[in-house]
Parts: sequence; structure tokens; C-alpha cells
Amino acid sequence: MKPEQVVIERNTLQHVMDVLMNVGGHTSPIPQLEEDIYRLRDNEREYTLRNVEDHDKERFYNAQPTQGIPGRISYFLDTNQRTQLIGHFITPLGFQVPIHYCIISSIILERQERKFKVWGAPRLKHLVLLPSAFLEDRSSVDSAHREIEVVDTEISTSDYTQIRVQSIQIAHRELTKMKIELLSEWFEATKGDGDYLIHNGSTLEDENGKLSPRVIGLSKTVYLPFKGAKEAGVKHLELSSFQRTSVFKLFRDDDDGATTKYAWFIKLREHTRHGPEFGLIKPVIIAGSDGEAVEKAEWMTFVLLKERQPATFPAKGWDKLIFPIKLCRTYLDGIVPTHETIRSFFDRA
Amino acid sequence: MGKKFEWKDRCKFPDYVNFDFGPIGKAMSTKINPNTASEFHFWLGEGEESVELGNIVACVTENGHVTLGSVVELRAIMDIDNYLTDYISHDFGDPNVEPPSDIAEMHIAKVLVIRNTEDRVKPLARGQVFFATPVGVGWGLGMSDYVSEGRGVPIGIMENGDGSFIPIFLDDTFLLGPEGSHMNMSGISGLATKTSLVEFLLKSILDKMIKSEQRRICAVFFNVKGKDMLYLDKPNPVYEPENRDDPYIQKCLRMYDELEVELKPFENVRVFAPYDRRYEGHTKSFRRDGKVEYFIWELGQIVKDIPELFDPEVWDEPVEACWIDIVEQIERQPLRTYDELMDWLNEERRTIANARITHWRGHIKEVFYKALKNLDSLAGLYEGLICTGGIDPVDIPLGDLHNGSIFVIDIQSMNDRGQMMVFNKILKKVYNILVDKNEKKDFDTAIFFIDELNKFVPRDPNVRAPIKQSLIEIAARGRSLGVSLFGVEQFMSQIDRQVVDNSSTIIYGRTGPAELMTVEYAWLTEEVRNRLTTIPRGTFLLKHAKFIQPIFVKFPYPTCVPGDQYDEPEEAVVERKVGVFGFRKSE
Repeated sequence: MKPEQVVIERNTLQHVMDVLMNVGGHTSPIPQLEEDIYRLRDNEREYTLRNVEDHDKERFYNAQPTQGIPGRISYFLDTNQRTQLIGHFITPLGFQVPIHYCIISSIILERQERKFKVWGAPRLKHLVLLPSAFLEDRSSVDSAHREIEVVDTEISTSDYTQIRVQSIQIAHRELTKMKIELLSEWFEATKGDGDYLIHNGSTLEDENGKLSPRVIGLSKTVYLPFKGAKEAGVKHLELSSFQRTSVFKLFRDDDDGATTKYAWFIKLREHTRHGPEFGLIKPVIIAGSDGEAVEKAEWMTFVLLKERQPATFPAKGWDKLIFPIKLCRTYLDGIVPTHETIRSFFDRA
Repeated sequence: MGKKFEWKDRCKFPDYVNFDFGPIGKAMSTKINPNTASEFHFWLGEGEESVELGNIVACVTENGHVTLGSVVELRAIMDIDNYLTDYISHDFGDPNVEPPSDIAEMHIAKVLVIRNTEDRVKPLARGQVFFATPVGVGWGLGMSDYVSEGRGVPIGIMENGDGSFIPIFLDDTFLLGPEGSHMNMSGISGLATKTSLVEFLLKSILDKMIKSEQRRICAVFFNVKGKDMLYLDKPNPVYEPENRDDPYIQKCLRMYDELEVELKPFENVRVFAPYDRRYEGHTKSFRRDGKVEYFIWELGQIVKDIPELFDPEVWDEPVEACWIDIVEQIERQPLRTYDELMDWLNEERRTIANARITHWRGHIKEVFYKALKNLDSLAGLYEGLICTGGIDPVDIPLGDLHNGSIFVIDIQSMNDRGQMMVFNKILKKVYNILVDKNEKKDFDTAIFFIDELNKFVPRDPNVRAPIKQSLIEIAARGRSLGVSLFGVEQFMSQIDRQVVDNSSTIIYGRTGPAELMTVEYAWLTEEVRNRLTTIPRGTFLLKHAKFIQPIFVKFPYPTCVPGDQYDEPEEAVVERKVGVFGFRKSE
């Protein structure tokens, strides 16, 4: 994708508006993004947590490991999803059906000699989400502009709020698809160098078969909703700077290990005036065995601790935000219109 | 390559844009720094190091139009919100720490719009930025029109970031009249920029205008210090064959070629200096090769100027009243020479003293004594200016001024008041020649050059400057009469505003930070002001009435040798002999 293509065509919003009008919709944007209102549901509760090593409370990881560093982190992936309720239409039966405009994007930055460049090309999609089952004439959306993808959410419920909740999940599904495609390309293209990629956010629910063992998911959540978590006694909230918890395995009983991962917590930084969550990140990796996971955790902890510099202060969530991911975020924000622009556009009608 | 051709194909004015060099950045507008109709911003492409302050760029917008502008500000931005963040990122202040990621950095240029190809005045947002071509700069600055009509006076070269040499021309109708006139130049001393530029510009004017026969020009230069302007007729040794391998000399030679100015010293130069009775050449000048002609005035020629030669403390109102009666006697008797005047006054003094008279022609005798004392000291104070001791008067032959001639009046030996008097006297005479339609003359434009203009037209109203008013009048009216004043000073803030404001061409050389704090420079951006503090020799900032924005211009070494760097060969120096007496020529 050429940079010119990445930049949103100024007519895109008008095309989205056309789709809305074609289905007989009315504009009714709301001030917030749907993602800010509704939480994306995950299935982490389905996972079981089991420690695979004992926790060494006395150890700090800011010194180079004696066994060396077998890998290098050279790639950073981030995604972005913005779902905006732009309007609704009324079915012949009198249901109010919301219509969403969603922008999903994904990028990988490559770091060479401390400098960054875009790996491959960033991905960007403009989606209009609507349940076509409620449309009288489905052909009314077929004439949409080629830059816009109209996604049939296939939602059958007539509950207005449920449609909204499900819409962002469907958008997330599209985003995951986009991300996995990008990761597959990356994996194939970089087999030779063997360098690792940091994925912003947890990869726990991504199928291992579609991920690469060279992907490190970086989760910022400290919540442990997993089965067995209480019994395992993970002491992540008691960590001091440069420490990590024991590595634990996360697995489901019902997927034959398709999404089994290993994870641990690292305390990047601490501050007396901040709570125990401050600077706490959770790497999520794929490993062939418990031993391999611990081995990886040993050197990755050191490498990830180095990534705490340069600091990203005063960015939102800077205590857990590493600089390359901040760059990814800046890039993705730069190629899409702002939330204010979109809302203002649909507000005018 | 594909992108480059795409922009070229899209552009409606490809001659104005250097597509061959490639894009140097992209214009954008942000919430905090939005573009306006008069300025825009662009970021520089990765690794783009050719752009510097003063470059002229061309922004091509999606509709194919071109906006030309001058880079007035360059900023480096890093993705760091505050100093503390970076300090922390280096393990709390360890400069040796190298974080795994280099902080992203970029350069932003601010551009002041010179001209755009659209009729509408509007801010631009997106656009691909290139360097402007010489054709584009010519169009943008409005030079192409008057250059094609033969009115262009070369003043130097703008060296753009792409390495191109762009000849810069002034519009002679704004430099020498009648649309505008006068040039003012300021800058600190010691860099030889001001004098050299005037010499180069005069050469350029004479070459272009005389050849094109559009004007008949003469010049009167006043040498107020050292040997600055004394050797206009001597070739500059830097252009000797043995120096031509020097890269800077080669650059200068290229400038002469591009500007089509002949690399020859001035012709038709005559140098004049006050009389010196002790030296066989009879001139109070540092030039000793016998080429300097002397001038000295008789009483009648300077009688009206005498009060200007004294400070107000010694030439007060009672003395002035007394002087009016003396002048009356000079005319009535008549008294033809200064010696006769002094003989008569001394006789009057003796008479008063012997008769114990209290008044002289109604003036208290002490006032008369004071006036006499002043006049008695005049010959000594302004030795060489007034005929005494039987010297014949020799005036500066201003009637000999003709098209292409240059008179250099060497008044460096005189004090400020003397310099002012000579300058004013010659200025008025040439002015009268120009306005007198009955006077036969072979020139229609006269250029006056004077250094240290602050002495002649000081801004401070408390500083007495007898010729200030006449200079202000010249500045205001000269353009329509063919008088062009080229004034030079160190500090523009010390010059009367009317003189500066009436100058259609203003040149800024290297300037000190304190001077740059004054209101004269407030219209320049901070970056440009800062640049002026370190501007290299041979470079200046040019503001011309026809240009929308000022531009940085370079000029070559002049064709003539800079006086302060020239030592006359021993064999050329006429032996200095001391003589005590001068003799009046036989009638």
C-alpha cells in the first residue's frame, strides 16, 4: 500500500454517508466511541493458570543474563479499532437498528540500528457495520464505494443495545483477521532473521497455529480471572522494579492446546506515589515446553526491561507503554481522521 | 521515481519547480500551528539536509498550483515531551546510556509565502515541497518582468539548497528612481561587507545601465574613514591568475558570469581631498600615488557654511547674531579672502580695546571676541578646507561629472562637522545641477554614497546634525529628481526613520544581538534575526520594494581592491616633502 493510499480519501466519509442514506437511515452520532462505552468481551475466564516454576523473590533482572541473549526484538505490532455509531434505520416492524462506521488498522514497525521504519505496509479498512437481515432491500448497500467494506453483522436480535455491543465485537473479529494476515506475511518474510516481534496487547486468545513463536504479546492488565489463579498465588502486585513473577501456563481444557500460552509479570518501574499496578506488564508467549518458556522468560525479561527506555512520559499509560509501541500508535492515529472529524461530519446532517 | 513524475505531471507550472532534485518534504497544517495565507509549514524528508534558512521552495498542491516561499525557520523536533523524560530515559542522567530505541526526530520548516500561481489568497494545507527553480524565483520575486524590460540591476546570487545559483536583480526604477530610490545598508564593521557590496553594486549599476543606455549615471562617493574607497580604479588582486584555484574565488567568478557583470575595475574615477600644504601632492589623503586632486575653498565659497562647523556651545545665538553683521561686512567691503576677513576683524578688535568701547555694532564686545576667537580657530581646525596664507581656491569640478564618472571625495582627515559640511555642500550643488533645467549636464541620475550615515541623520533629536533636514528632504524627494542616496551605517536604529523608510532597498549585514532587539528588526522572524548575528562575510539579507519577502543574497569580491587591504607600491608613492608655504597663483 502506497502512503498516498493510506491517507484517507476525503470522500470516504461521504461514501459512508451514502450507504447510510441508501438504507434509509438517519444520522444519530454519539459523542463517544463504542469501544469507550462497551468492553470487548474476552474469554480469559475459560483459561486455567498453572505455575511452571517457583518464584524467586530476591532476583532482579536489570543485569545482563549470564547465559547471554539468544534473541533480539526488532519488530513491533499495534492495531487500532474505532467504532462510531453514526446513525440508525427503522425496520418495517418498527425496530431501531444502529449503524456503525468502523476504522480498523494495523502496522508493524521494524527497528534497525535503533531507528524505525514501517515493515511492509500498514493495513487500513473502513467498515460499515449493519445487520442486513433487517434490510428490506439488500441491494441497497451493494453500490457502496470500493474503499468501504459493508460488513453484514448477521445479528438477528432486535435489541438495540445488544446490536451495538455485538457490532464492536464483530469489528474486533475483522481486526484480528487483518492482524493475523499481517503477522503471517511478516512471519514468512522474516524467517531468516529470527528476530522477535512485540504485539501490543495480549495474544492469549489468538490461535497458536496462526501466530509465530517469535511473537510476544504485551498485556497491560493485571487482573487474573483464570481458574487456579488464587491457588497459584501469583505475587505480581508485590514486585519491585526489575523483578518478575514466576512463569505460568495458561490453557483451556476445550481447545486441545490450540491457544495455550505462557505468561509472567514484569515490573518495569515503580514509584512511591503510585499503586501496585504501576509499571506492571505481562508478556504472553508461545513455548514448546515449560522449560523453554522459563528459558525465554529469563532473557526476555531483561530485554523488555531495557525497553522501558526511552520513557514515554507523559503519554497515557506511559508506565507500561514502551516507546516503539507509542510510535506505532502515533502512526496509526495519523492515517485516520480523528474521532471529532467523523462525529462532526455525521452530526451536520 | 514514479511519485516524482506524478507530481510533475500534475503541476501546472513545472518550470517553477525543481522536480529533478526531487521532493524535499511535505506541507501540512496542524491544530497548534495552522498554516495561513502568508505562511505554511512542511516537514523535511528523512535524511534531507540540503534545506537551510533563506532557501526558496515551491509547494505543489493537488490542484497543480505552485506556492513559492522563503524558509524562515527550521526546527528539529524529537518525540520527547519534556527534558525530564529524556533525563529519566538515560537512567536518570547518564549520558552514556543508549536506549534500545532512538527517539524519533524530524525537522520542520516554516515558510513565508512569496507568491502563488492562484489568483486567490488562501492558506495551503497539503502539498509536495520542492526547491524552486531560478525561473520560479524570478517569477516569485517579480524580477522576470523588469529584468525582461532591461531594468534589472544585478546585486548578487541566491544560492538555493539544490545548489542552483539564482541571479538576483533590483528594479532600477526602485533603486534609482522614479518609483522609489535610495539604498540603506547596516551591519557591524570589520567584515568589509558594506563597502565591498557598494562597490560591487555600483559596478553592476554602471555596467548595466550605461550599456543599456537607459540612464546616464554619475556617482559621488565620500570616503569618511581610512582608505576604504580610494582605489576604485585598481583591480582586485584576489582575481589574479594565481588565486583562481581558490574555491571561493571560483565561486565569485561564477557569480560575475551569471550576473553578466564585467570583472574590471572602475574607469573614470577621480579622487579629491582637502588641501595639504605640507605635502607635495597637496592632498590630505592616504592615497599617495599622485592621483588625488585637492580642493580648497575661498571665503566666499563657504561663508554660508561656517556656522555649521562649530558646536552650538561655542556658536550660540549671540555669536550667530554677531556673525550676521560680519557677513554683511564681508559682502559690503567686500572681503574676498579669509586672511582679509581675519585682518579686518583683528583691526576691529584693536579698535575696541584701545577705545574702551563696550559694544561692537550693537553686540557686547565679549560676544564679538567670542565670534572672533571662533573664526580665528577655524583655519586651524579645518586646515586644508579654507584658503589661508595665499593659497588659491580650487573647487571640486562637479561640472565635470558625466555619464559613468565617479568622484571620490576623501574627507577622512576631517572631523564630523567638516565632513558634514563638505557632504552637504556637494550634495546641494549636484542637486541644483540636476534640478536646473538650464544647466548643461551629461547625467540624469546621481548616486551619493556615504558611510557612517548615523552622524549625518541621527535619530536622536538631541544630537545636532545641521544637514539632517536636507538629507531627509533628499530621501523624500530625491527619487523624482534623480538623486539616489546609498547610506551605510552600523546601527540602523540610530538613523532617522524617514531616511530608512524612504529607502526602497534595505540591506542587512551581520548585526549584533542588541541592535536586533530594536524595533527596526521586529518584523523579521526570530530565526532570521539570529541568522543575522552569524551571517558570513559576503552574504546579506535583502529587502527590496519589489520583493514580498526578504531574501539572503551572496555577492562576489568587488572588481576593485578594497582600500584597507591595499598597500601602494613604493615606486608609486610620490615622495612626501614637507613645505611650509603655499603661494598664490599669479593673476
